Amino acid sequence: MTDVPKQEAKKKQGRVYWIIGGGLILLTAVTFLNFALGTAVSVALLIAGLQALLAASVFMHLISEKKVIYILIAFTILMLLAIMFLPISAAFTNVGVDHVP
Amino acid sequence: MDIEIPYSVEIREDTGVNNARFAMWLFLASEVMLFGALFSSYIILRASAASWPVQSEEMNVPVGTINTAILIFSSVTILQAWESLKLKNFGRFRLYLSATMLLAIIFISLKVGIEWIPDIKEGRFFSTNNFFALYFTMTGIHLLHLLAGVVVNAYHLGVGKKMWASDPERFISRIEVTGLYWHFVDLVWIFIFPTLYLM
Repeated sequence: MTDVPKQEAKKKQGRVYWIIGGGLILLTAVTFLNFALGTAVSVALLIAGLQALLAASVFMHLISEKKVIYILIAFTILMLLAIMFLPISAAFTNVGVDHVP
Repeated sequence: MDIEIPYSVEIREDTGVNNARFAMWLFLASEVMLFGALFSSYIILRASAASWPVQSEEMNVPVGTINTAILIFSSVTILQAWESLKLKNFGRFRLYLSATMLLAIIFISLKVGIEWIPDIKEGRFFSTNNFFALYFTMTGIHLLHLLAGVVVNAYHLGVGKKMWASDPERFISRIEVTGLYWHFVDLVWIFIFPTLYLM
């Protein structure tokens, strides 16, 4: 008998995944409509950010993860920012500087 | 001789998670670095280029949109497969995992059949320009990740399913970490789509 509420909770969780998945597909359709209407690309990137946030927090359960996973992700984001922005800043610092053969 | 692997299912006291999930997150962290470097390359090459093609004119945006929806749908089906196992419904698990694989195969077929092959036939390849070099590299690496996911899921449906009878908790844990990987591959595509198709 004690398993019944647990089973119900799991079934409810399954429905949540469908709803979030439907929402994400709807956001994809909005991205396409934005593109068809010629709206700025920044809107598409903003929607992509929102989709990623939803997928990571609900599908990957980041909304209720353990502290050690959050620390790992924070460290990963730090390294990601470094790997993205250090080469970019180096490339733009050298813009217009001729290469010496 | 069977070797007992500790903490593959049970929670470690020091981390609060089992080793399988922690290891998958570590692996995903390394994957973030891989795709981060590719996106960084894209920004540098595009910003420093004298001219750049209008990507949305070069790409098949409707197919890209459909593929995005397909991957999101497959993320839901793999979650349903995992939930089915937790409800001890192996038949439903098989159905949802098969659907996940089918959706991935549809994605790959659309990508290769409707996008890559016509591109190559029209003479657009790695060497055409920096955009196509990045496009084929990024979508190619992403496709390889998806293929790897299909192989792992096929294993779970085939040889791997024996574990459901012998050690169901460990099998559920395996599907959970496979799901984490699958969602990550979906997440990467969510960023690839606007970056390569719409910008």
